[in-house]
Amino acid sequence: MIELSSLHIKRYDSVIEARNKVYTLVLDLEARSSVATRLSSLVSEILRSILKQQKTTNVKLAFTKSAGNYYCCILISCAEETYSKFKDNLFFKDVILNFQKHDEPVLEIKLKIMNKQFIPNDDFLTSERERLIQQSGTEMLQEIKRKNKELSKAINDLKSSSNMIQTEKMRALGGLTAGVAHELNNPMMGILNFIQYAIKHTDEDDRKYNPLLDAEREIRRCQSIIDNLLTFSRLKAEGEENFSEDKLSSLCERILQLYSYKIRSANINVIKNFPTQEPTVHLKTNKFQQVILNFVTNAIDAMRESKKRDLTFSVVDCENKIELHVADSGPGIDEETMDKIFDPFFTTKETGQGTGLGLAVSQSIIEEHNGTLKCQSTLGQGTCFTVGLPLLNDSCKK
Amino acid sequence: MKNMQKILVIDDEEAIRRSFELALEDSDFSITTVSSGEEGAKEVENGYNLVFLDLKMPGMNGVQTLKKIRESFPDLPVYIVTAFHKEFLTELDEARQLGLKFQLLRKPIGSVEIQALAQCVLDKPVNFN
Repeated sequence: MIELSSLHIKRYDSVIEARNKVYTLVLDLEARSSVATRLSSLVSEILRSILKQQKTTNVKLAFTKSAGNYYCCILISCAEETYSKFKDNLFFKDVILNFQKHDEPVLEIKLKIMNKQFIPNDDFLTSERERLIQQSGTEMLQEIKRKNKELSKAINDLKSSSNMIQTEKMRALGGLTAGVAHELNNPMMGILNFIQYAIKHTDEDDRKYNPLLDAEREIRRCQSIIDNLLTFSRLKAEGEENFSEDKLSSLCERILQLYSYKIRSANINVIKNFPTQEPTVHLKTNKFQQVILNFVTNAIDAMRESKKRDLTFSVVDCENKIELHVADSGPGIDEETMDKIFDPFFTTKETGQGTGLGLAVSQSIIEEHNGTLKCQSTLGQGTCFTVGLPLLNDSCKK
Repeated sequence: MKNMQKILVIDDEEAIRRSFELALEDSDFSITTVSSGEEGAKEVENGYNLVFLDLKMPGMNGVQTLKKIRESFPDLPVYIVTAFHKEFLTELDEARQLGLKFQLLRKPIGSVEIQALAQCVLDKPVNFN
């Protein structure tokens, strides 16, 4: 084996260059005859660059097919000496697949071609890639940048149009809700009073008594659904609750206290990551508690079948906004469901267990606070809801 | 019975009128119901101690009826009972600015609430500001 010298490296470079030319030519293989001549001269060039002292003669080109693959063979008649040099040449190992000995040694360089395409080896690909990057690096970078820009613009367009659709949907639903609320509240008040009248005039040991109590409870439930709908469509009497200053952690603590029994009986481990110093935010306390409560009830429902039941509350102060993360260790939400979780009336809970309004209501409450609501979920690991509230939301002060 | 406290209910919905009647059936109040603002404005002239008034009614609506009532009875306690009052917000604000006294109640209201309201309003006049 000959030693690697700078000369060899130089030679190698020129060979690679020549091979690249072959590659381009074969790719461009429209008329084989002309390619053949050009290939021949190229191979001469290869040889010249490698063996400067040797004048090569008789270079032939052939296309063959074996085992379903096409090969381009470059056959070169050369002297014994040349042949041995090639045989030992480290750099030609990947290209020279066959040496055939005739009277005169013939060097055969076999290149694999498939569907007119030269299938280069890894080294070739690497060098080709490097060449491309070097030659048109800036050009490509610019192209990539341009494409990225186009892509992010398209994404933004899509986002804003989907927001618009959502807003339109909400507006339409708001109008509908208002009508429904009015139409239903009147008969509901009738039913409620008729039932209460019947209860008043029924003895407690009468077997009608308990069903009447059930009926009263259910009509109250209808009432709370309508209430939710009105909150959701922001059509509930405005100005009924003012913005006040509070800490998100205090709100969480209040909810946790209020629901400590439910959380304990569901065997849920509550983890709290609250900062020692936490800025206050402007919010409608009652409404915001409803948002947190929605997260908690959803998390409890989600972890019903889970072995690990961690409910983590984190408040993170990020300069101009404050974030609340409520994470569960439930089964997570699949992609298809994720698209719908904020849609009103969408629920995965059993009939009668959820109205499908919880997250839709939460979202509209958070929007009222100029905040953001995001959901991240990993299947098998859990779901995290993130609420972002602006810290200097003067627009919210009313 | 003499000196029985009188309550007037003005609502176009039969179910609401019946609700008030049933809730106050065995109470110490005498209750009269009418189904329109026009009738209510006329009936109130007979002297009442408390009025429950619907907001959305065909013909004279709650606010218009309230204005009419206030012409003769500036201090009579009036509860405007409504399922949904947003579309009347401007009119209600206007009435407030005119100095017309009223209190808003959101439907649905159960019989216990109705009794409690009647009781406390009539026992102890409530400040309607």
